[in-house]
Amino acid sequence: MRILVLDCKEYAIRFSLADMETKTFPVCGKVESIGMAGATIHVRTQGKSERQEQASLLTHKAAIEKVIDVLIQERAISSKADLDAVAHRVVHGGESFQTSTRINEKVIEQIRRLRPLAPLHNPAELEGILATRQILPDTPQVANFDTAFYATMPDHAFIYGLPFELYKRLGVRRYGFHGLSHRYLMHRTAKLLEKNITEIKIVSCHLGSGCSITAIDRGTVKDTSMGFTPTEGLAMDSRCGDIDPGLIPFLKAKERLTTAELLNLFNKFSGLRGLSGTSGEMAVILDKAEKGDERCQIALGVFSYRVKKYIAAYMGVLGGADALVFSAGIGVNAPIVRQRCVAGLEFLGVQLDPEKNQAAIGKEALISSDDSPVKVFAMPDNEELTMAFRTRDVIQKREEGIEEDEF
Amino acid sequence: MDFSKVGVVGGGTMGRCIAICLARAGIKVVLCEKSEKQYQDSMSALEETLKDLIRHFSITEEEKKIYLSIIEGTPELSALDDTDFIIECVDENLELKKRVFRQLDEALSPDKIIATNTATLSITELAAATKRPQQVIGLHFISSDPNSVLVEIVRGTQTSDATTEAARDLARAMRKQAIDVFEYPGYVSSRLIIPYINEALYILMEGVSSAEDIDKAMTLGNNFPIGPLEMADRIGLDQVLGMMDALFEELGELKYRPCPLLRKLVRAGHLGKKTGKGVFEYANGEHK
Repeated sequence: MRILVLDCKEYAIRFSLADMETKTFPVCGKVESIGMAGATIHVRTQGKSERQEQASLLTHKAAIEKVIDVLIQERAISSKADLDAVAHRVVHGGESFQTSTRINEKVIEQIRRLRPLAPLHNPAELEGILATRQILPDTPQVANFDTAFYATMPDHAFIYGLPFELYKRLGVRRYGFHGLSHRYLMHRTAKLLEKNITEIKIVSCHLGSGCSITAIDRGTVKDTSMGFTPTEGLAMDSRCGDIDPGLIPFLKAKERLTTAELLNLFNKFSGLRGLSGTSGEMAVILDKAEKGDERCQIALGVFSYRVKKYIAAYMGVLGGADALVFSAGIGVNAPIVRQRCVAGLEFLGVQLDPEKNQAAIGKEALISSDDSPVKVFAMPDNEELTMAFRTRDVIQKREEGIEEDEF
Repeated sequence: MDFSKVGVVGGGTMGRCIAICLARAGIKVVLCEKSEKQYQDSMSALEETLKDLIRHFSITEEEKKIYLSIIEGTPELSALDDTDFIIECVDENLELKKRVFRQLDEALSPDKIIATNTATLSITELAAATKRPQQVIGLHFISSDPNSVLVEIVRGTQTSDATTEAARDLARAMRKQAIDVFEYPGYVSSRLIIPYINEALYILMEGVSSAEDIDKAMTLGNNFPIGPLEMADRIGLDQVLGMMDALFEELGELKYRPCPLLRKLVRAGHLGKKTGKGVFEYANGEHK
């Protein structure tokens, strides 16, 4: 079975072709600068070096047609009829969608209605879905939601301390994001520990350009750091994470900002970027911090402290954990950051092995000491695999439990 | 109608603002200026505006690079034939605009639509200078702030439905909200706001209240984001006077008589924010 996995953003599309027999991705890549003067297509085919192509792609439809052309060019498929299904990433499923769902008119309408909850993501994802339905009208398509993983989160964790009517009337609550990633990390951790997901407690840290931490209790979610939007929680690449709500009227007045500008401030000018004044990239910040750049040191300090705070809090919520997982760009590539995030948590049973930690860059590895009660992993994320599996299962109408062996 | 490239004639304040709005919507821009030097000057000023937007958290550094990459310049009006729509933004001078329209009419293929950003001049008269009056329309971008949302679509007597529809499509593509206006002095926005500002100046001149208090009456008393006198300074007192004079001339009613204080300030060269002094005083663009 071959599944086209699509993650459609405003000006870019990440794509991969999943081969469900081998559970690998023969081709993957990214189309950037859609709708602008000249798009770039990056293609990575297994066994070949990465290549780039330029094209004029003004719409998502043109971009997706190009992606299919590329797959044919790379001989991963011989025609679009070879695609058995399409897996779409949809960031926000609200409370309407608690699991991956086969796309039909009603689903599309419901996704459209969720636009106010995710104005930065929803329109582009919808455009991708509609375009794909035009290009591949007979191919089953499945929407995979970042929020669906959190369907089991208890209400005392997702309800804010705001008037309850706001939740009932407007859907104001914590939704949680990166669900596709944390779901993969949960299954993979269980596999490595040779346990069932219903037997273990995990604190899962997805630290990429967006960052979130999730407390997973034996297959269900107890809490997560992102909230109503992906802005809440940790300090990220360019997002501020947790702040005092009192700052909103203060900043609006003092800096004379419109709401849109304030949102920009929180989402694009904050986090590591805003703290360091240099860059949102951890690699750059680590380098400069080491060379004595004070602001980069502050950025690093704020980032790791907040991660540590959440790890400790979630271990409290879970009553202890079997595993702590670091994933995505920073989680997998920055041993120093991992070390700072767990320094002092030995009393909770988290003991890093310094050598194993230093050596674990860009790969899956166990980085805790042999006698550490909590197993600590560095683990590359794989949302695409989750999407492919969930899509396959929805189409073949399998029960959720069966996924476990596959990871 | 789809828009991949739009032509802008004139790189002054409004031309630059419109170019930024187009680029922001992912539409390529061909900016026509009289000479290479004028174009370079325009682009420097445009880049300054983008830097201002960054300072105000409106756009990011990356976005600024993208916008600059899709705006190109030309001294030839004929180069605009390669665009989907043309917006004229030269100085608010009837003879000048008529000349530009005649030149555009000759340089462009007959199916092209030419819009004008004029705030006060007659669309019908500009259209009559061409052989395509059904394809001439007013597209009035009220403010020079790229973040402002409203566009007035102004139909001349011969503007066709198809042209109006295309203008609406462009406004939508530029993520603006459009209102339909039939050509008339002041359209809607100017006719409402300029006499209101003028009246505030009368109140000041007659000694009824101080400038600060007059503004407070509207910001605090009526929830206006800024007061009429600060607004006058921002628009430019010369612009306010020009529009008031135009209304008075066209419509002839006493209620449009420009306030003597306004004329006095303009004659003294106190034009508002851009000269550092108008009704109020300004340092570094901020109210002192």
